[in-house]
Amino acid sequence: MKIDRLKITNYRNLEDLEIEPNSGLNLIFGPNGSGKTNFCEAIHFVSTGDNIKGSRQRELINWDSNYALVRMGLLNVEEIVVYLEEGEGKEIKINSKSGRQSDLRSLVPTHTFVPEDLYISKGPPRRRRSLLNRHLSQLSSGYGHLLSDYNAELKKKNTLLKKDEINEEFLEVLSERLIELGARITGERADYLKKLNQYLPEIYGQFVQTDEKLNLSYTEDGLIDRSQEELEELLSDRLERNREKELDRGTSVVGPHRDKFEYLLDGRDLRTFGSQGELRTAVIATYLAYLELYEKKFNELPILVLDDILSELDRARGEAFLENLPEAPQIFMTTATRSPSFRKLSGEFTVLKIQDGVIERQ
Amino acid sequence: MIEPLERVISEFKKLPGIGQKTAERLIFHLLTRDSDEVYRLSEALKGLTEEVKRCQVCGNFSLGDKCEICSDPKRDRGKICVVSRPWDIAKIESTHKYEGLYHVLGGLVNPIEDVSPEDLSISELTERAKDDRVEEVILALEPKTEGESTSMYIVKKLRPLDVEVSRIAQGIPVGRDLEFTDKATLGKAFEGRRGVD
Repeated sequence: MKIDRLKITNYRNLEDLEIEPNSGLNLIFGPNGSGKTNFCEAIHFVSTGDNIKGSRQRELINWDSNYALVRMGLLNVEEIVVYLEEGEGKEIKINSKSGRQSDLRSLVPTHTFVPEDLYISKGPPRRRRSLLNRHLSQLSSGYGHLLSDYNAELKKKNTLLKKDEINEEFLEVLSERLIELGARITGERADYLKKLNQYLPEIYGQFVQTDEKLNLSYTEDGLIDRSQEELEELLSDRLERNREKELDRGTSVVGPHRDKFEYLLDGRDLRTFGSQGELRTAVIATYLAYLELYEKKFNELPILVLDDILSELDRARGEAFLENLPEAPQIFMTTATRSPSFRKLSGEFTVLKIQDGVIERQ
Repeated sequence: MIEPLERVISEFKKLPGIGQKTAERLIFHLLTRDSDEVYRLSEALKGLTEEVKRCQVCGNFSLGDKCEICSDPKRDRGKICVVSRPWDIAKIESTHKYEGLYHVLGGLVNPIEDVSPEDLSISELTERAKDDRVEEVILALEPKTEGESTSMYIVKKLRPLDVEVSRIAQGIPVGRDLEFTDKATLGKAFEGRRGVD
């Protein structure tokens, strides 16, 4: 899959940008504020229907306009348009017909990496949880639905727990639902971690000279290789033990929405003793491992959008990243400076320059 | 804008799926029609509140105290199909596949919207199911999370009674390609597969 044509209108500071990108690697240079990040965001927006930063709609539309539009042509899809009008919802058109966000995901598999992602290893557990959710939504059919069902039931249970009068039987129904859905989520996550850890140590070793093994693991023991029934039993026991606490606090305190994951280097928590560089490298390694699993499953890599990764890595690790760049059908990689590291790139690539919202080939 | 227009627009905007723009469009359309037509519309709307009642037995729309289905002697009194809204009945009726009675819950349990089981006609349903003639209760609630948990709650309530409880099947719409069926639906269709006679 590859983007043949891209036209961005009034998306943030990009008033009118048009390009027919090449396949393979597209290196995009531009000073700060030139619109590099907005360019990446716009590609993510038209291929997923989502705004990667979760910004408010008004912020996505250029200040001098009341609508934003990203239009894209692909090999097998004539035209995909995602349209945003001030005060109205978002509209998706696929070959002039109304489409849904889920249609986009299957038509244009895209994976976007933003600099903030590099702090996943360092920040609170919720970041690693959302990383796993993002990966699993792509790799496992049904995971996205599973998660949204779980979250919907969780929200209901939390609302119910806060009420003065609680219908005990309905609370029990919601708990049963959460146990069943929750155990499935935990099972999926455990399976994914197991697969991920088959690749992580080797990939990490390509960036850091070490014999120590990197793993991403559940903080809680004993969740790997369990059957659905065993996981349901575990979850049900924990819910039972925390029943009073939940009623007391008016919120659900156990379940996969509280799952914790840590990066371990030979069993030691990377967060407490790893350097900044090692922490970021752990994320890069996870990303590459995910892509290996993705390719194994779908026989092709997604389109990659890599916003300014290199500036966050030191020179040696930046070069290691370029040397290990996945062979995706199309990659958009932005950077502020022309680093000497680009010597490390093998094969052909296209150089683009973006300035004041205009993009051109070099 | 002048007051009578503002008033109608603000009423229209309370309807589902209608915003400022659509409301304005509808009103400008009405203003261009002759007054008879607009009068007929307002009379028809008035009839909604004056003539349409709810069936005392099942909660369906009705002209009298008992709806057409509940008072039809040919209907199978051994079966009660549970739906959340009255218009689901019309939909199921249009299939001509079901001869039994109905029961309208009046919504789905959802603590977020402050709908608890007591707000729905669930106790009325269990009372009806106690009738010896009733053999089966069929749950036909929307296959989303609210429908799921409401169904589970009803199953709990009916368990002590001597009735079969079943749920309508979920799966791939007729005439639809597998390719364009979403994963959740396809998964449900597999779970609910059955042997070929």
